[in-house]
Amino acid sequence: MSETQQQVEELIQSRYKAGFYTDIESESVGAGLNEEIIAMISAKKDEPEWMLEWRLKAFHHWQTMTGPNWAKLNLPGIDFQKIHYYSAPKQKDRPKSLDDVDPKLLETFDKLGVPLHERARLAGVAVDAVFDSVSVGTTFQKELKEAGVIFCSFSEAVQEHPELVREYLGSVVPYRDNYFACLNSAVFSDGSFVYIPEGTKCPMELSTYFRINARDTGQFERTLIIAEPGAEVSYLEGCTAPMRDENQLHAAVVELVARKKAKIKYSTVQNWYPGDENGKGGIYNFVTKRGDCREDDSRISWTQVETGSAITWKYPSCILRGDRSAGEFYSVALTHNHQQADTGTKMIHLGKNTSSKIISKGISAGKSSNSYRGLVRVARKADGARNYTQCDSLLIGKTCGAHTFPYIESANPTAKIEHEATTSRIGEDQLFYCQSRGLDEEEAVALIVDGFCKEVFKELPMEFAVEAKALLEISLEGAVG
Amino acid sequence: MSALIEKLLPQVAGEDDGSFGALRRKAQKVLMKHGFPHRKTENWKYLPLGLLEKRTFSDAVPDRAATPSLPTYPFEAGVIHFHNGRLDPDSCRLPDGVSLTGMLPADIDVSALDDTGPADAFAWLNLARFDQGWKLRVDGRPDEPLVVATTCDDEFDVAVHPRLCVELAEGATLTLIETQGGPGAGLINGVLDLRLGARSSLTHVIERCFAETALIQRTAARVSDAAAYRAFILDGGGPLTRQDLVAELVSPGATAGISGVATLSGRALVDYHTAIEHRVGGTESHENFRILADDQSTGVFNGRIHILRGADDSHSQMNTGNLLLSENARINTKPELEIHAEDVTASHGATIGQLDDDARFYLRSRGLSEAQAIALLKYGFAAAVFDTMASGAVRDWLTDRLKEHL
Amino acid sequence: MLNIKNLHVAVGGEEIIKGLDLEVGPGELHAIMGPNGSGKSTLGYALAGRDGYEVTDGSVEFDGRDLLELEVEQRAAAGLFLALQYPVEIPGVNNAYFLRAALNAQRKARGEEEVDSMAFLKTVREQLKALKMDEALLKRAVNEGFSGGEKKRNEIVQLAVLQPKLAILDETDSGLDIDALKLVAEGVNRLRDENRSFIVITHYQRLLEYLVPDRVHVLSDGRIAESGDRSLAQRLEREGYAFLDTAEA
Repeated sequence: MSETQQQVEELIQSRYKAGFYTDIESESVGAGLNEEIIAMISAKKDEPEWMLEWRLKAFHHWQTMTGPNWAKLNLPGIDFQKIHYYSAPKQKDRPKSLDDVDPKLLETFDKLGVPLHERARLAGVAVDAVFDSVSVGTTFQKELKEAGVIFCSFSEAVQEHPELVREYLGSVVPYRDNYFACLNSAVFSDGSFVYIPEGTKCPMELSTYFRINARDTGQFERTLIIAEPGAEVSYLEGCTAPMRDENQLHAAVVELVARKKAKIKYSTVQNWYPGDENGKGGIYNFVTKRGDCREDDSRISWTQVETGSAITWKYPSCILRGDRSAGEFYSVALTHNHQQADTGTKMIHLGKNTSSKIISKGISAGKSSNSYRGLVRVARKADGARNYTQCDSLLIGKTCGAHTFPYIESANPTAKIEHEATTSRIGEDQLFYCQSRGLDEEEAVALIVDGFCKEVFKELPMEFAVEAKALLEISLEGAVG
Repeated sequence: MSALIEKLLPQVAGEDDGSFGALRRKAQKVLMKHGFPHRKTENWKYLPLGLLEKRTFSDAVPDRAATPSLPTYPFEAGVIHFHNGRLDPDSCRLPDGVSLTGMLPADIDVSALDDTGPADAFAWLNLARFDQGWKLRVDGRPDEPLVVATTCDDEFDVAVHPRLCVELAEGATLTLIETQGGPGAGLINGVLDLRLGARSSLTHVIERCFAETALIQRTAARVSDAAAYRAFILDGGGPLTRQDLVAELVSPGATAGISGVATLSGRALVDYHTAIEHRVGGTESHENFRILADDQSTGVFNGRIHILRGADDSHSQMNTGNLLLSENARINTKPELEIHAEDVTASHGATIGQLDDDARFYLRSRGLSEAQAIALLKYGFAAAVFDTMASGAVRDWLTDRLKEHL
Repeated sequence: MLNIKNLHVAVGGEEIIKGLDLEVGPGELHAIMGPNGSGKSTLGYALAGRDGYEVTDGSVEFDGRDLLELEVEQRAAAGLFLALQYPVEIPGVNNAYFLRAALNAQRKARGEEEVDSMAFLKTVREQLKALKMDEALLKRAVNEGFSGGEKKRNEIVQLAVLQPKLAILDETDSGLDIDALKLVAEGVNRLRDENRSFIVITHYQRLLEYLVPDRVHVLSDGRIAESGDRSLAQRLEREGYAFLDTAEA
């Protein structure tokens, strides 16, 4: 191994900065999964009966399903009876405002760089913070309310806006959709709910921060975003978890509904604990994200920066139902050590003159495996559909893998589909060139990787683009240095 | 699919002629255990195997009524002729340096076949049921190409399982031309093993079009040191045409090229699965595959480039282009890259679209009619694939065939 | 030869040519100049009959026939030739084969015999030589991998072989260096005679130093804003197109 390669290898050893644990008293339901547990979760949330019925229907269906085996993942068996499906910080009553929230919780989010209290809030970004199974608070409630925007925890939405939840829940991702979405439908604990009324441009970025803290706990959040005709919203989620030796399961569902001329931009910076350099521990991240461009001229854009999790299994998708609707997917996935990522998107063209764009950048290092798996499907009636896809992979080292599995299906002779993919590595000449201009190895690698990801980063809201770039640098830090 | 098992695998040849007994029993076992692939078997998801279930195949190869006719070729060539699945020794003529012998168990290598699932069921079926395997050995450089013609007639309604192995000695060169087609409504489930010795060179041409006969063909080329495998394919499809084509680059300097065109009309269907396996470093491959789908046809292409761990300094390039020419035609394409090595370059591009408006206008503005312009553009789109073929009588014949296909 | 009256052309529903009149007599060479977006290329495409260039009003008479009634290929057979600003690449289609197919299609449409292939090749080779193009280009696919200059010169080869009555050159000079520009101009000049007419669409007057125009027209906002002799082109070169604005203001 050349010196350069060695330095690059070292650079890849990441330092996970969100790996601390908050010592807080929590209550959780016992381990295991059965009707009783589900009823208990539902009761704790004081849910209406229809909600419980829906959960049980999902659970019964889930019992008939078998887990997926097709993704290019080395998936160890998961004992679903060992997982705790509910864990919440203990508190007397539901906090009425952020002032009532346990200071320890506020401190946790402070440390994660997501301050919730008034004086330090991120300017222009409303945050919903989810700690294990529950939302601990949402900032800027008042300002949003004035604009008519509903942004609250899912539990609260079930209480306060049952008609909206009932109408839209499962309308994009039915509970039967897939194994993990079905499990989520049975046991989901909390998540965020967003409703943007007709003609309203959400006055600020909305953001949810997910934190897994408790041991042996699965996190099953559910997010639902509804954009009424002409509405616009930009939403961002971030995720972290403590470093633990055991694997933890995260199986979320995100549903987006865009009505006529509505625009939804959904960005994710996923930094769940990836496990240590020997592949011990880490989060199993099995997420179903889907957006429904339900009416004409709607647009849904997914942007994701994936650096965490031991195993990721995730395909944020767009159903392009409305005429002239548009879907976009921008992704950076970085894997190292023993991480496995299988991620991509599905663009289902149903309406006329629909368009989609897919830009995927995979960076693999260490012994990791990084796959793009995508589907572009043009239905028979989708006249004038257009797709452009570009998948690039960057390999760092000899022991990692980079794979591309694009499924392209067209049944319409007026559709135009273009797909391009490349796999390459950071060239020693590139490194040398940067170094000869005065950069050190680490800076050079960071610079090259940053350039490689640029097309995706520019899609992120500004504050998060900076964060994402920093996160990538941290993940690569020590790799050279 | 158990009905299909009963149909195609009546009973094991238990008291088989001994020499292949162990292999056949193994094949039987795998088949009985995993059955045939179905819609949920990755790599078989687009193939309507139900069509085979609907058919009845008779038990016996029809008697030869008359001397089967052999297609004619506008070039001098040696010939091996299979009619209704059986070698027709009368019409065979071998070029100098080529010998044909019966296959021995040692000529069969099943190590690459999947015995953990139904993915390679038809290759196992071939092993369980093949009637007579043949082996071609090529020494030196025969100065004429060798045609392997597969024909069938109206009486052909059986399932046959032809098996051929072609071995090129060190430094040997051969142009092998497979032509396949004919009436009848049988099933040809063939296996072709190609073994390229060091510094040998094989140009492998496939030209086929079936009306009612279903074809499931597995072709595997093993390419050793500095040997070159080049495939040129022109396929008009059939009711169900499945071609697996695997090129394994097993020693440094080995190269593979696959250039293919499928021209589909009516209800034709082709399902191509190509795989180029870079097992060691210093290997190169390129692939260019195009499908033109008209009427109610379906074209499936799954092209896989696999660069294994340690195969550093391998380079591969794949391109697939598809024209959808009718609102009832379908294209499913999947160019795959699976890369486990370093210092490699691998890329693929895929497009699905229709004839270019600019080009159509350009041709018409020079005086060509709409129909002429379309025909010329279709031809150009397809013929570009054969640009890498050495010019000569075989290439001229293939491009003429292409014009007829279109 | 060509008589355009009150021509209106819309592209994608937007009117680009807004009432254009132009008369080109036999053997004349007219230059059409104008700023970007004035409708120069649209005029060429509309005359050649391209889909999407919708004639909403006006008439075009070409060699005694109603041009607008004819399909694209019928216009070509009638003797109209458009040299494209961006000649199209057609992979897989052999250049010589294409040219002969085009010539024969036109001859057939006119009720003439197919061209003798030896004579055809001889003509093409002469033209290639005159334009200093490699004969190997004949064996290559149409325009594929040609440099920008080669594509433009290839258009002139086609022009010489097809021998139209009226040739419209759409910015054939753009992207050419001075040597290539001279070759192209010489090629055109060789083809000039008392019957063959030319419309030369150009942004610069550079080409007009070598192709002496009978008339120069300035196209602005879909109409001919000014017409004159050769000196108009020289004035445009000096003053630019800015005077058009002042004239209108």
